[in-house]
Amino acid sequence: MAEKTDVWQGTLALMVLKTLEALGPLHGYGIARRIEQTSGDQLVLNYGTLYPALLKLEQEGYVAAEWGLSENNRKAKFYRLTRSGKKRVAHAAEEWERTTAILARFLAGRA
Amino acid sequence: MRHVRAWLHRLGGLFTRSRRERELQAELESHFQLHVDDNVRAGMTPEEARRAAVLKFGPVEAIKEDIRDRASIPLLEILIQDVRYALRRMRRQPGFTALIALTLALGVGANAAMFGLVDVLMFRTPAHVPEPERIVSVDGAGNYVAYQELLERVRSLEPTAYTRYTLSLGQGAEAVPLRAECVTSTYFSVAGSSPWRGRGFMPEDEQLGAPRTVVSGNRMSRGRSGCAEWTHPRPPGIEGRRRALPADRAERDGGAIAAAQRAPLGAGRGGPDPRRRCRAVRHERAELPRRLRLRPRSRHRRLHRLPTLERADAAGDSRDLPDAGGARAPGAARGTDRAERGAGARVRRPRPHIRNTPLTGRSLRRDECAERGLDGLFRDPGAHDAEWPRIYAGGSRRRARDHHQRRAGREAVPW
Repeated sequence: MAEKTDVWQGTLALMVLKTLEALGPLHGYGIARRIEQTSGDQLVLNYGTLYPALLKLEQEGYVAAEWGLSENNRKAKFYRLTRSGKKRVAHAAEEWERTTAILARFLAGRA
Repeated sequence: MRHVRAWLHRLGGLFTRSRRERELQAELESHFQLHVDDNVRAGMTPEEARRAAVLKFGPVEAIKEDIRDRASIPLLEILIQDVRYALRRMRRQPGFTALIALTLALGVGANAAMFGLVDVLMFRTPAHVPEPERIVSVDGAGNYVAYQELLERVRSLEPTAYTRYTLSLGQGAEAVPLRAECVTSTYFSVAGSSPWRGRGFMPEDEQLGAPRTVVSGNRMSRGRSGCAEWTHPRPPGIEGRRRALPADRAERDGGAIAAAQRAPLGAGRGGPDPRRRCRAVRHERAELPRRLRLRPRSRHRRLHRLPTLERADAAGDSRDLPDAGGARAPGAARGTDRAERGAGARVRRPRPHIRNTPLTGRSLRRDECAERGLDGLFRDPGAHDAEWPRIYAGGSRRRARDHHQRRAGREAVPW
């Protein structure tokens, strides 16, 4: 069985943004669950660590937040991607792919 | 850009602390609700569900702290809190606060007053001198011939020469000592001031045989001597002048003598009014000016006594000396043979020093000296060239002297 991995520094923001892009407005808990699921339960994620990351994204203007009702009628703060957030996702994803491609080439070369 | 935005948000966060706190609480509560709901749906008991949710969340207080820090600027926030606390305390103890404020006010006020006084008295150049930073002094150029040469050759500067002495005013028991200056005619324009009444000195006054001209000080003209005008055909009641000046010396040098009654600079009764400072008594006889001041436009008040320039320009001496074959001219090199000078030999000629006012710390640079023709004027073709630095940059007299001694191979310096 594969060991579970911690979330790498700097990747959490991209995961959050990507999740919001895929699912639309979502509350913190939903985002956390979704990230866990998407990783195929391979990531160890303390749900709490999400909130500072969300605050930072909000301050940087990539996400906006407002209060709403969840599907089972609980009050929750919903986050949605802003326009600059969308741009950021595209940009960051591209960057990340490039990085991993380069790294992959190195790994392949060594093998 | 996004950093700026984030910081603006944080700055804004300083003022919404309670709202932020409420919102954070609400958000975390809602998070736990949702998580517990899910866990219960998955078949846990409410107790287990809550426990599991808290475990999954991580260290709640640490995360809250992290969020708080991120939402504002903690350092500033703490500062604001402290200030508010201080203000509250001050309001509760007004007497104590007043006492402290008074103490501080007195302390600061007294200090400011003292430093203001010291500044004006000791560090500022006198207020009536325009552009004091442009004044330099050439010390040790010790005779009238040198002055005239300077006057002729250095066009970019306006030189003036003066020498100080004490003479007596009045006769017998009524005589009072009078501090005076013998000056050349450019004296007042270098100082950047002009007499209150009458005229200052003209170039004609400097000629040999010209009538005595006196510019007297305010105090003197009003109080002591009854000399009502600034320009007076004859210095009233000045005695002993001729005795004070060796006759041959005066004859040789020609030019003008002015005597000035000096008042303390800056703080005198007269205040900064330039008119009150122009105190000079003028005489037809010339004293050897010990100092020359080069003037871009004005003069400064402090001079340094430096080695006397003793020169024996044979031609110059005989031209100025009516009795060329006779007595020794004191202006010529002391201790030098007349015959030697007559032969046209250049005798000892120490370097004059060009210094700027130490108040502003600037002196003429070498290239500036060259520009103004001072280099040629003062260069000694002899052996001392390297050892006698011509220019000192700012600094104290002591430092200049040390520097000098080093350069001169640890010889004592004659000033």
